[in-house]
Amino acid sequence: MAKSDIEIIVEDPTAPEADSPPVTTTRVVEVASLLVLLALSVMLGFDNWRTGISWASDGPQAGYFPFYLSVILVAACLYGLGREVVKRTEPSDTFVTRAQLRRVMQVFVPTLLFVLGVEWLGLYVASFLLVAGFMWWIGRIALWKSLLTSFIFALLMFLTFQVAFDVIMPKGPLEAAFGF
Amino acid sequence: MEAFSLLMHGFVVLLTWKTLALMLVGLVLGIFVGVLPGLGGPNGVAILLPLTFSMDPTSAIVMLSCIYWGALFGGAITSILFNIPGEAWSVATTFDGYPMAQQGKAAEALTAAFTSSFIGSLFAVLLITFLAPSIASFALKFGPPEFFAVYMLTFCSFVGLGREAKHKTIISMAFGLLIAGIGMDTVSGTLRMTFGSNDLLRGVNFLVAVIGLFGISEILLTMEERLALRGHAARISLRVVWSVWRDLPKYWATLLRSSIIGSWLGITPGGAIAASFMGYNLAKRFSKDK
Repeated sequence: MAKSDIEIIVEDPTAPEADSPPVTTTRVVEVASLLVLLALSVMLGFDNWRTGISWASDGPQAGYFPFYLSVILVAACLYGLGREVVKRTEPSDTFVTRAQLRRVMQVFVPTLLFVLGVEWLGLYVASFLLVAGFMWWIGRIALWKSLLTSFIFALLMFLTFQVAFDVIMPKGPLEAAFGF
Repeated sequence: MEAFSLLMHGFVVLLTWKTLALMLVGLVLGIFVGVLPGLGGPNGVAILLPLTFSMDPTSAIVMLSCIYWGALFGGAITSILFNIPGEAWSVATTFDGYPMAQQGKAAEALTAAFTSSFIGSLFAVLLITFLAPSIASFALKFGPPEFFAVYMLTFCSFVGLGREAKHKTIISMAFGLLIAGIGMDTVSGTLRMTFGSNDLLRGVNFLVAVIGLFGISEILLTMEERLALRGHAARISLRVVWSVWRDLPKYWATLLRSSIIGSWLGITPGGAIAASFMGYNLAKRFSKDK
């Protein structure tokens, strides 16, 4: 029998509050990312110009195509910046509120540390720390459960990639101590 | 008829216990990936790609396409039960699927969803099998100018048809092409945009770019929102499946129409998102009870 009158309700107790004060507007973020892209495209365009943007006897030089792409990128960024200047008197939407930013940073900062950790500790130790930290600190799950779950997870990943499929992943001192 | 015998040969290759088991594993993994919010078919395939590294090509393709199909069905599950489309092309499924779940007909909606996607994909596979030889001979005539023309047309249609501001589309395309240009130039062998870094010699890996730009940004976006869920429980029994299958032939016109729309927009750069909405709108227009 199809029985679907049971409703599943999952609440999100740590959801960002709706009345949290805004941090920035969309316009500020848009102008900032346009400026970053502008700087990047000028830098890449310069490098391509140095590589060579002319037409050699055997076809275009290596910098020919990317140089014109950088020119297009610069032009599009300038157009975007000009548009924001023209519209500067109009009100802009909220890009992110303080509560939302806090939640995003709760994921973003550990992810960033994880990437740095992969460099020094190797993938498996770093992911053990990431999963355990997330479960214990953000998920507020008992410490022993967090440690056990993340240990099993890291071990399973190690067995899958290293032992069963021979996929080389970044490894650190701990794996070296066991002779891998 | 050569195409038909090749198709049959394909089934012979597939119908071994090993590939059937791989299909099952792929579908289950795919459904898991599809049900998780923020992870869809392409992301799932990208994440589970390492599983296939040591397989032979046939098994790997079987596994990956099953992951993809499983993820599509998983997307339909969340669309119907939770009103959360996992992907842009399952948005149209929520229009009628979620109301059906609210009326207690979730199992019927799920059965209709997977049966009709089976019929649609079967149609597309048959079309590809019989048209592929002629498409292939046409494709062999393609040289650099033709490829350039096709990509030019595609990029222009992105700019022209996209709903975002046009300069943003141009920025994304130019930036993407620039990232792809990093590393050794395939024509002359000269290094470009590497700034002396050895890691950039081989360029930026496509998977790295895709997971960074889509996967991680999607996770961060999800964090910004409220993650509360409100959904319906459903139980599928064989009886419901049979009763839906008995009713489906009545909707042959809708099935055929949507299959044709999907195949046509799949060949042209329109894509699945446009096709799903177009199919829904046409079905609504031709429907007798609105």
